[in-house]
Amino acid sequence: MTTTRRLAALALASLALAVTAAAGESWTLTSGEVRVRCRLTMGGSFDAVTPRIAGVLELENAGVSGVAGEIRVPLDTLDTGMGLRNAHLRETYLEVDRGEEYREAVLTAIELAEPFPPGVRDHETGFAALLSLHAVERRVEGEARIMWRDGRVRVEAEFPLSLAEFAIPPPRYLGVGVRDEIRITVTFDATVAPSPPGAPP
Amino acid sequence: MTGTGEPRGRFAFVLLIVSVACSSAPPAAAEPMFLSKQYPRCTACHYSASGGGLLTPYGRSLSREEISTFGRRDPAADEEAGAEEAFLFGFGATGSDSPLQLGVDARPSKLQLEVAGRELPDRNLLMNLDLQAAWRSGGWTAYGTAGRRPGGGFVSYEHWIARQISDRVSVRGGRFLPAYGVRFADHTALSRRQLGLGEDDQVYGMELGFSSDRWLLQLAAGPGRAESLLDDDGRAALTVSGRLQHDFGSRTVLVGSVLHRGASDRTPRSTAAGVAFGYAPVAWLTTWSQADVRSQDLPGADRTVILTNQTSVEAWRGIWFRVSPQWYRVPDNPRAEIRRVVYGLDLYPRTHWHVNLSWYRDRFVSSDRLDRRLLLQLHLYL
Repeated sequence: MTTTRRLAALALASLALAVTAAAGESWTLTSGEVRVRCRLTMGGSFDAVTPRIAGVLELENAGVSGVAGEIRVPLDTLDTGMGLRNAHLRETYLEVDRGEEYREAVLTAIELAEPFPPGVRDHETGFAALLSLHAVERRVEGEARIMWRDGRVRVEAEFPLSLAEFAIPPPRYLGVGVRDEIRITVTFDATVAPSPPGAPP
Repeated sequence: MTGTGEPRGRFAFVLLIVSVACSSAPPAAAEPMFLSKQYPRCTACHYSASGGGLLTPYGRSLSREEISTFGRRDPAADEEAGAEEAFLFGFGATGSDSPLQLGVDARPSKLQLEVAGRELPDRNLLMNLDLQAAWRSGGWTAYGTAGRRPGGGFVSYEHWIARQISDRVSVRGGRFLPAYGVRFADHTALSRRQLGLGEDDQVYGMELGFSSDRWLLQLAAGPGRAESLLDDDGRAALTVSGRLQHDFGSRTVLVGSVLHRGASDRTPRSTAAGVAFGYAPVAWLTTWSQADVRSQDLPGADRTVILTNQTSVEAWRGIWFRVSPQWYRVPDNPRAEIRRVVYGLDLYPRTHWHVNLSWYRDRFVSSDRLDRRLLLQLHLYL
């Protein structure tokens, strides 16, 4: 009897562990793009774009709003399509050579306004997150769309930010400037895997 | 009056006028192909809201750093901004930070003509020689050009004063080209010349501009074509224009335009409406297409259709190839149909230097007549 009880307990524990693992998900970014729309003072805009986006996100369960993990973007890969503009953007304003905290933008502590309803394959929600940029950490808020397709997930998110809040000086060059509020669009595809046991929520 | 001889003679005369007008006209400034560099608005580089003319210090800087083949500064060099690209290569009295900016626009050119298979004598021309000046301070801009008219005489193509009232609203008054469609650099383009938007077709008037991140609205009204008002040639008439631009992105633009001219003593009332679409999928390719319809109170030729495309490819930094098919058609008058193709090469070897080689092929459909022009032009914007 004792042996039978032990086996039953072990089986239940294994089942519970399996259920927990299946409920959590780990998203590993495989490809994507970050597009920064810079609005010019005399009207119109230009985009700074980078395909270099990486990170792992951990989702504990459907119905939970918190997303652990981080998304990292190396800022010295932002490309505006013009050398002079790239040089000004990277060196004068983002100051990517100034140190580690200036080199990358990092998004963490993502909170979804509307947690994933179970079984949904296309979900739109607001979100908030912490953005570390230019050695300053600030909360940002935006909108996101999350789509599951063939065992993968695709995310399209957009949020505005103020350059001044991140201590980035107002970009000005020979009378033409970039307005303080810029818009960031983040798009990425990720593979989905069960979260490893004990992964943080 | 109803015989065939006279209308044909009249038609031949019109063709001759069109040929001479086209052949004597130089390309203007303004480069819509730079949409591929994410510049959907003329005002990024030019003082004029409708494009063309003197470059701003920012535009001058771009012409050096991003447009010219050999002009780019060595990033390692500790050179002051505003040297080579400044007025007269920095030997002028005005620096890049001065509210007063000056420029010289000169276009020595060589033109080869072949009309209906017959070669005409080559022409060496100084098409333009203009001094340009702009003063910008405290939201005000005063702008003017003064120079030599092709063929002789004084001309000031543009002179106006503008006020930036707020981030979004501006107003200007004076002599300027009304904003309409895409301002192709070649002002002999059928969408410009046939709509009365050629080199000296500026109007006197007032213009209101409303600008946001994605939208640009330009409304203008005035008593008419400036040269006609000055010459009192009976062609001046109330002119009203509207142009609405939507930037779908930094490289995708849609433009809707209207241009209305009232009846004058010598010209009928006319209204033109057009749609233009600019798209630059990559940093080295820009294509603009424009469709225009003009209606006139003119018996037998009340409606005109003009289709224009210009596609530009930057093969190497500062080396652009250009092809531009154009079609002009009057549905009620098949004899007026013109099919044109322009092949062009634009070289920007160094700041201030632009070499333009354009080959025009005009086919007048009803008579199957073929005209060819080869234009070699050195455009110096000093």
